[in-house]
Amino acid sequence: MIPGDQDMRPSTDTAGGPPGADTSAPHEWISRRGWLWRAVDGAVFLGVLGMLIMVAIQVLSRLVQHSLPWTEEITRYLFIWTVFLGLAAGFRSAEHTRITLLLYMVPRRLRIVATHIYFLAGVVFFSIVAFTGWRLIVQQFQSGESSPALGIGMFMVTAAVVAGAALSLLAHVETVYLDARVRSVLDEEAADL
Amino acid sequence: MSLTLLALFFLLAVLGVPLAVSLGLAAAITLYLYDLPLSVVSQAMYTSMNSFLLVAVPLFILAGRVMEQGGVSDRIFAAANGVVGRWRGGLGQVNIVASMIFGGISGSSVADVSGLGPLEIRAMTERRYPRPYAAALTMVTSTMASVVPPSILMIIAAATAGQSVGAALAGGLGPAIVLLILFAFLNYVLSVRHGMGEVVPLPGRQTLIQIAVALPALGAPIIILGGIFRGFVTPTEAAGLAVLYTLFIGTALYREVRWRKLPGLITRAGINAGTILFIAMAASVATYIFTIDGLPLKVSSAILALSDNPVAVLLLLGVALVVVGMFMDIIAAILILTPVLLPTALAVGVDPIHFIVFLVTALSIGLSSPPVGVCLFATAYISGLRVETVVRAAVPYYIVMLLALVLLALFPNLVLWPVQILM
Repeated sequence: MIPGDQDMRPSTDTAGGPPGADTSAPHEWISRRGWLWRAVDGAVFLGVLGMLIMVAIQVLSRLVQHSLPWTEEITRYLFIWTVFLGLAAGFRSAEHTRITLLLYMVPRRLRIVATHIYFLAGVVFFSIVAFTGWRLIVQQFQSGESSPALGIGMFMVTAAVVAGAALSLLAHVETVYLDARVRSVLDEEAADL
Repeated sequence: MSLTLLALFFLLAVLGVPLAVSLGLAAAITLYLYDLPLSVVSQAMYTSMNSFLLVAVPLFILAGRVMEQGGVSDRIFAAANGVVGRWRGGLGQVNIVASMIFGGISGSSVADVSGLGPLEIRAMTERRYPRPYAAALTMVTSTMASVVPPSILMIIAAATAGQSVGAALAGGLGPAIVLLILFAFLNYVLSVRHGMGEVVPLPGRQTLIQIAVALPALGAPIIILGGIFRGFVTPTEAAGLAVLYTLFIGTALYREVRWRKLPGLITRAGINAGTILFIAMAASVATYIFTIDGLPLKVSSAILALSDNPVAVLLLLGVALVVVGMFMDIIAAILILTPVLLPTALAVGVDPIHFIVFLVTALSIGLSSPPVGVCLFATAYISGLRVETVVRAAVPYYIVMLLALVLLALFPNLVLWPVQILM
C-alpha cells in the first residue's frame, strides 16, 4: 500500500515515546541516526552553549562597567539558528505537539491516511518557508544588508530559516517513509506532548 | 479572512497535523486566497524569533533539566518536608510548597511534574495517601509553576502583548499565592475528612539540617527573582545565571550532575525550545492576518455589546479561556489570543498586566484537564495510573482552581500589589 513499506530501515529509535515521557533522559537514538542529524544535534548543542557563554559575558561585562555591544547580537543570532535547527530535529523524532484524540477513535486504516496528511501538510508548509526564505536571503545578499554591531551579512542569519525548513522537509521524508520506528509512532502511538 | 484561517487551522489540527504546522499552513493558504504576499510567512517567522527576550526560553528549560538531574529537587522536597510535613495532610502540603519553589526556578509545569512528581507520588503513597490522590495533587500543583515567576508562559505572554516582562512575572506571584493557600486548605480538609496520610514528626534537629542542606537550592529563585525585580539583570540574563547557578550547586555541592550527561541535556534544551517556539513562529504569521483583518476590534465590539463592566468582561473571557485552554496547546493559545483579546480588556479599563496574568492563569488550568492536558498525561505516565483515575481524584482541585480564577477577576490587586511591591 505504501511505496517502499517493505524496505524500511529498522531502527531502535525511542522517538516520540509515550505521552509525558521523561524528555530529560538522554535519548539513545541520538547516536543512532545519520551523520547529518548528529551534526544538527551538535550545532544545537553549540548554539545553546554559545548563548549561555554570551549571556554570562554580558552580565560580567556590565559588572565591570564595560558593556560590550556584540554580546546581545551574537546571542540573538545563535538563538535564531538554534530554534530553527531545533524545530527540524523535533520533526526527526516526531515530537511536535499534535491532537491525536480523534485519531484514536477511527479505525487503523484511516489513521494511516492521517499520517499521509501529516506528511503532505508538513511538506507544503516547509516548501513555502524554504522558497520564500530563499528569496529573502537573495534579496539581503544583493542589498548587502549587514548587522549593526558585528557587520556580518544578514543573509547568514536568515539562512537559518531555509536550513531549518530544508531539514524539516528531509525529516518528514525520513520519518514517514524511511524510518519504520518513528513511522509507527506517527501512526498510532502518537504522543500528545 | 480570520474565519478562513481558523477553520483551516481546526480542520488540519483535528486531522493530526502538528499544531504549529496547522497554524502556519492555514495562515499561508489564507494569504494565498486573499492575494497577500506569501513572503510574510518566512519574514514573520524570522522576525518573531529575532528577540533577545525569548532566549530565556531555552535557558530556563536547561535550568529545569539541570535541577532534575542535580538532586536539587530532592533537597527542596526534604526541606519542605521538614517544615510542613509534621501536620495532618503534611506530605500533601510538602507537595504544594515544593512545587511552588521548583516552579520558582524552572518556570515550567511539565518540568515540575516530571522532575518532582515521581518523588512526591512515591513519598505520599508510602505514607498511606491513596495513589490517585497523590497523583492528582502532583498534577494540579504543577499549575503554580506556570504562574509563579519566572514562568516561561508569562514571559511569552508579556512579550506578545508588548508589556513589561518583569511586571508580568511579578504579577504572577498573585495567582501563585492564591492557589497555594486554596490548595493547602483543601488538602488539609480532605486529609482530615478521609483520614489520609500518616503523620511522622521529624526531630527539630534533623529539620534544621535538611533546611541547611537545601539553602543553596533555595538561593536559585532568590537570585533569579531578585535580579530581575531589582533591575540588575534582564529575564534572559537571569535565565543564564540560573543555569550556571544550578550547574554549580549540582556539580560542586550536591555532586549529582554527571558531566557525561551534560551535552545531552544542553542539546535537549535546544530542541525543546525549537519545538515550543515553532508554535510561536507560526502564530506570528496568523497574528499578521488577524491584525490586517481587524479581528481584535471585531472581538472587542462583540464583547462590549454584551457588557462594559470590567469584572463581567473578565469573567466572560475567563470562561472562554478555560474552554480554549482545555482543547488547545497553551503556548499557541497565548500567542493567538493575547493580541486579539488585549484591546477588549484595555477598552473596559482592565490593567494590561492584570489581564496578562489572568489570561495565563485561566489557560494553564487546561494543562491538567482532559482531553489534551500535557500535565495530565505526564502525571498519568509517571504514576502508572489511568488518565480517568487521576481526573476523578482531581475534581475538587479543578473547582478550587476555577474559584482562584474568579477571585483573580474580582480583585485586580491580587495581581497589582505584588507588582507594586517588587518592581
